[in-house]
Amino acid sequence: MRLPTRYAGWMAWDLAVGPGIPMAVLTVLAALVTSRIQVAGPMGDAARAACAVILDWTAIGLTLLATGGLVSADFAIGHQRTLFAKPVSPPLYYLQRWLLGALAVLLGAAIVGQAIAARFAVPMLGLTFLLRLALLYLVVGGLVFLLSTVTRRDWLLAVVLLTWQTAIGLARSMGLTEGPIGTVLDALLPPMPLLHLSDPAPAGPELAHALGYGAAVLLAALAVLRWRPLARGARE
Amino acid sequence: MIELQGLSKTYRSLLGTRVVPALDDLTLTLARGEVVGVAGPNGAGKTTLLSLLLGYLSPSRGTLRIEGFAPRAWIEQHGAGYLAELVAIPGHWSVASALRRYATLAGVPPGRVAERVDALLEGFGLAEQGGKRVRELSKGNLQRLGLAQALAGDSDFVILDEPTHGLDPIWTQRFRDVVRDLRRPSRLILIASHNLDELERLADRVLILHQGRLERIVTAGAAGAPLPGVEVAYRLALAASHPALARAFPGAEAVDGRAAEWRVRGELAALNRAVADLIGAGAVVTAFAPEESRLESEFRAAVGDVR
Repeated sequence: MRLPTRYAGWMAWDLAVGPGIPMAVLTVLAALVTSRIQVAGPMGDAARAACAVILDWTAIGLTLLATGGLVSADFAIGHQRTLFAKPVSPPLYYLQRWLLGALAVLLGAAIVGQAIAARFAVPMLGLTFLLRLALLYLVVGGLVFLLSTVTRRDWLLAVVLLTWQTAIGLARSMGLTEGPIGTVLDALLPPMPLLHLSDPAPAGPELAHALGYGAAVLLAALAVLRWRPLARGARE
Repeated sequence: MIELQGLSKTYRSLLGTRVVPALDDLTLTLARGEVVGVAGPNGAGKTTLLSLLLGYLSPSRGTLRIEGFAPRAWIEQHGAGYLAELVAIPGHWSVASALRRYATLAGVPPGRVAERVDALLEGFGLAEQGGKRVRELSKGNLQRLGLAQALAGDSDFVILDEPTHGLDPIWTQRFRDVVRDLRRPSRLILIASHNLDELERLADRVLILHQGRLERIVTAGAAGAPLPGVEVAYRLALAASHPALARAFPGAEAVDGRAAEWRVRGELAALNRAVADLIGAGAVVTAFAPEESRLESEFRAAVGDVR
């Protein structure tokens, strides 16, 4: 039995020198911005809230960078034909790459979180923070992973969905209600309101919802990779 | 090693409005130790057949088993040496690092990867290109890299799709040596190619596909033996034109206006007698060879004028 870990080293290297570079830039920018936000005086609460938003969107941005094109980049050039003639399982191959992406996101978000914690002199990092970050990655990263198995514009589609989700949240906060179709469509969207890193951690049914959504999209991505054709016909 | 029973593949559009049959009712057994050629005009189903063998596509009907397993299960366990028709390797990888990755994927033990990569770079004339980006390679070098990665492991199942496409004559010749070196009793080698001469030289059997159907299987080695009683076309070359030619070969046609080369037709034994008469009359014959090989004749008979 050949383990997929045999190629984890160069997969991590490819991640570092590929998406890792814009991820590093985003991390540094977010850490710089959060470290320079005004924290003293009456603006302190607003600055803290702004930092929380920056942390959330940095984590989402890092996730999009880490998982965008995860599968579709290979399929776009036909590289999967070469890859999967080797003794390699497509679901395990991409799952390992997805997990390495999780580590990269964890590292980037932790750096930004640490910058915020240092600025506000409050404890930020800890097991709870890491678990919430993992939940965010499971949901958003799992969704992009799934989209990547079926379309080349995975991250773009994910951005559209997240924007839609944000718009719905705003509409709700303004007292607007959605109809039955909107309710169904809303259920298909990632439960972003449950994933804010600086809010209290979801628990009970909310946690089950977020976990269930993340697990469902991740398993769906792996199922698509198991069953989808690895070639489209005579020519790519 | 591989059994195909009534194997068919039909491509359908998402809504089923467009249906394209690609392979139709192939029944065949492929054994270890063989080199099998796959020939056919464009759209005959060659690449579809290879994709089915690798488990990249599922059959629409029929079964395909590799040692009793579904192709995908077998490939994920053992791997295949596969060269795709269009070599697609990420352009930002260096040649050496690409081979390191493929050797690792192919299951070469970590301690032997470097040695294996060096051997591949050397064997395929890529030693000086090792540090280059894949995107910087010429077509011929990219094809050689494709061949090298296909052979990075030590699989008993090798599939080469248009292996000499883009290779210069020297490397086309060397490729034949590579295939000869690859032969071993436990290994099955499939070569899909438009180059019938190449298949005739390398393959034990050649499958001729046309419009998705297996039209015929030509056993190589019988290439120089035209069927008895069948008229064949030969080329005859003389050192200089000779008056006995018109008597020995009344229907001889000059080839492309050349002074000393003719196309002659007839049953092979009769042609031999005519050549003997010609030589007896003092003509110097410099060449007497079939205008087309047995495989070419079979191919033409199977697919008509499609080429």
